[in-house]
Amino acid sequence: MRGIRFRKWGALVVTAGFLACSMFMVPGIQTNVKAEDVEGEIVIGYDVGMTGPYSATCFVMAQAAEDYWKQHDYKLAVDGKTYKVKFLLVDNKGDVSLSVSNFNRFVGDGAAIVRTEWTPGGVNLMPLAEKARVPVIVGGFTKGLFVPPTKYTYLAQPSYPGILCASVKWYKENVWKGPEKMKLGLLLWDSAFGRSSHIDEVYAYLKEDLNIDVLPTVFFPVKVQDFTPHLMRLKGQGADLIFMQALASQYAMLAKDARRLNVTPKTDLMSTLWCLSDKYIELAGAASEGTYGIWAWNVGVSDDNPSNPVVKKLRDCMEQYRGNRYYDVNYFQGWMGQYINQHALEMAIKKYGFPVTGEQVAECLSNMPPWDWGLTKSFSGYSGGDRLGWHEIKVFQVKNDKVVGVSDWVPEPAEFLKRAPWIIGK
Amino acid sequence: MNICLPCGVYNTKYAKDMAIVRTRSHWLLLLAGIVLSLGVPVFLNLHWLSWVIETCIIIIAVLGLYFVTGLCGQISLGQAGFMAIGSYSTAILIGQAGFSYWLALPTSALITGCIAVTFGLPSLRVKGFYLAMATLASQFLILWLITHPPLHHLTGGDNGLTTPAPEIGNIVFNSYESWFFVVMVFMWLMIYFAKNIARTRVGRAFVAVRDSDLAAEVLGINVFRCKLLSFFIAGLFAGIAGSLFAPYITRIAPENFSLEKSIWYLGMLVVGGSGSVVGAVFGVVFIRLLQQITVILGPSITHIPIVGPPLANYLGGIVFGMVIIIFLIFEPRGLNHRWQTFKTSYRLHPFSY
Repeated sequence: MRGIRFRKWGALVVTAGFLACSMFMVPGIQTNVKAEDVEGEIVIGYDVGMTGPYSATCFVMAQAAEDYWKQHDYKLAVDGKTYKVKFLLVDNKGDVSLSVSNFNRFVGDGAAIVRTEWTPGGVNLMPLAEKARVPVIVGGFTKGLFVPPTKYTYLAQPSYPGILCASVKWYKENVWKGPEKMKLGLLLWDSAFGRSSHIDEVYAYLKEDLNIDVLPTVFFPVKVQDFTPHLMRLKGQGADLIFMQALASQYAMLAKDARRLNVTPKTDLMSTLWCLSDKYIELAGAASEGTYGIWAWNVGVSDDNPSNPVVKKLRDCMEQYRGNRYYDVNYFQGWMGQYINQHALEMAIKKYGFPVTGEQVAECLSNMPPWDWGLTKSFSGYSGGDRLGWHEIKVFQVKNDKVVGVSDWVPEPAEFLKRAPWIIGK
Repeated sequence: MNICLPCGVYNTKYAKDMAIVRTRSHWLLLLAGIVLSLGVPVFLNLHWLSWVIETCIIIIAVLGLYFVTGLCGQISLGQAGFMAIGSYSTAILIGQAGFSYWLALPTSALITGCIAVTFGLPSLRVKGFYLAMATLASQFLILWLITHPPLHHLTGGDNGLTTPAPEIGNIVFNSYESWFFVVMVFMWLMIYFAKNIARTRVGRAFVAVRDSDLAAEVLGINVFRCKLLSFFIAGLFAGIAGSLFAPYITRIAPENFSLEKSIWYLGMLVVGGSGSVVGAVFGVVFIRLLQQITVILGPSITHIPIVGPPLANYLGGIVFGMVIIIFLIFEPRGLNHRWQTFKTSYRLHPFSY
């Protein structure tokens, strides 16, 4: 009897001990470099939807980020000293709770900078970043992320409303040749991403500054299956240009429906960032011909030359780890994110020495001067409250099943920024 | 259930038979559990501490579902939506109406309970899948109202709302360590309430309605009242969970309360065992641990040639789907039943029967 009791309590203690230990034993995904002569270790956190609803675009970004540090042998060097990079790449499955939990993991592991690859994640991490004093760079855009601007939250792309205004302005000045007032149809995704351009400043700029007739905005559901009603409505109102704010799969569906309903080629289609790619052409087929799209980087094949060492390095990375110099346009975003992280850390180490804290990195970011970084025309930096980094785009078009650049760099219009000064931190 | 009691322990009084905690060992284990749970911040890092806080909050929300689904037999697919009401009510009451958090919490819970009742009204006429569709509508409607005019000015739309840190006197609950204690206390209280309600007349009426609403009505139970009451309690629990969630997450946004979460709350209850409080707790902990494991393993399997990336993309969905199927086939009574079986065999050891 005594033996049985002893075994009972023994089993309980062992089980409890195992459970307690297992809590500490579960490791994070991390990649380490070999032990070498390095000054110390810097932790970088990357929260990205490698699985789940965002994986179609984010998976490649995660690959690119990982490749970036492989390409740099998980090291960064400042003033002749080498530092080891502990790169924590963690999946968020498109779940905000996991983004929060991942951020806490990064902070717990001593991360000096964190990147999250989606807007909702950024919105939730914003107050946590301030609390933990670790800067977060968000891949995405929404007004709430930087009004008012904080020292701990940054973005790295032009604003969606600014992109819309810039590209419509470019279209009006370079493509549209009608004698009457140009009619613009806006097709916005009914999501945080799509609605981010549905702001008064955009409508005021388009109507008053560009003198465009903006048709009543059409929102389409997140799980849209057919654009017929939306297109028929815009066709009936005589839209000259339809601008869509969603992702590549929706744009392909729109292009196919527009072709079927004879909306195109009479009416032109244009989309925001992330849409025009080989995948889009594959999905839309012949209907993709002549459609417009935007990119905010030097993604053109012509940019891949030794005169632009950064783009060349990026393409080399793609070729080395993915076997193709033109593997996927989304690769730019993942690679670029780590490129900015590295720059921020280097600035902080130069200024404060090693080790650096999140607070010091945030301080450097908030005063970051313009940077000739090679991936765009310029990187205006984050000083003066501007939390976006750059404000220029290029317009592309599908010609003979190829994505071809049709514009030079187009800035977010000054008149629009005057109406929405919060975009540049004013 | 007597078989679950240790050898030599008999219920000699009705009160003892009804007691939640029956033996000295139970009391000791309970106290040890409470003390251990309150000591968690000492042992855990920030990541796991935030995981525990969120798990405790979800346990409260799933306990609400335990009433409406586990006890009363109604299906609700809107628990995350109700949590959203609790969170947003709290943020609005504090930020825009100047309430103290400690007043906003019960008010939000009551508001959520009342709104849940309105979505429970169809339960009088419809059952099963049809009721599921009706409650599903609540999920969509609540999130739509949060993100669209005219309420988006109040709720912050997609940008969400920030909740200030609650205070009691000079104590400001602005860290995970401090908020953990509040959440843990609430979790234990809600577990107690859930256990307690289940053994009352109302709880027994819920079970009667679940087993056969016609027979319950013949017995004199007001079925409609029972169903609405179960929705009210579910809403109340969701409201409290949402209210605790707001200061934890600091900024609440619609993405925190998606349909997927509602479905998973129901899944947690199914996996744990829908008819018991312990099952609800087990289900939440099990699924959330599984979620962390897929987060950790997901990216690793991308390195496996050919099958890597495509499989990793859907790993979470595949694993969770498999878990539900496995439980429905092999253990429809959930983890709780497995736990009870284990306890019984452990107590009877070395005898088989």
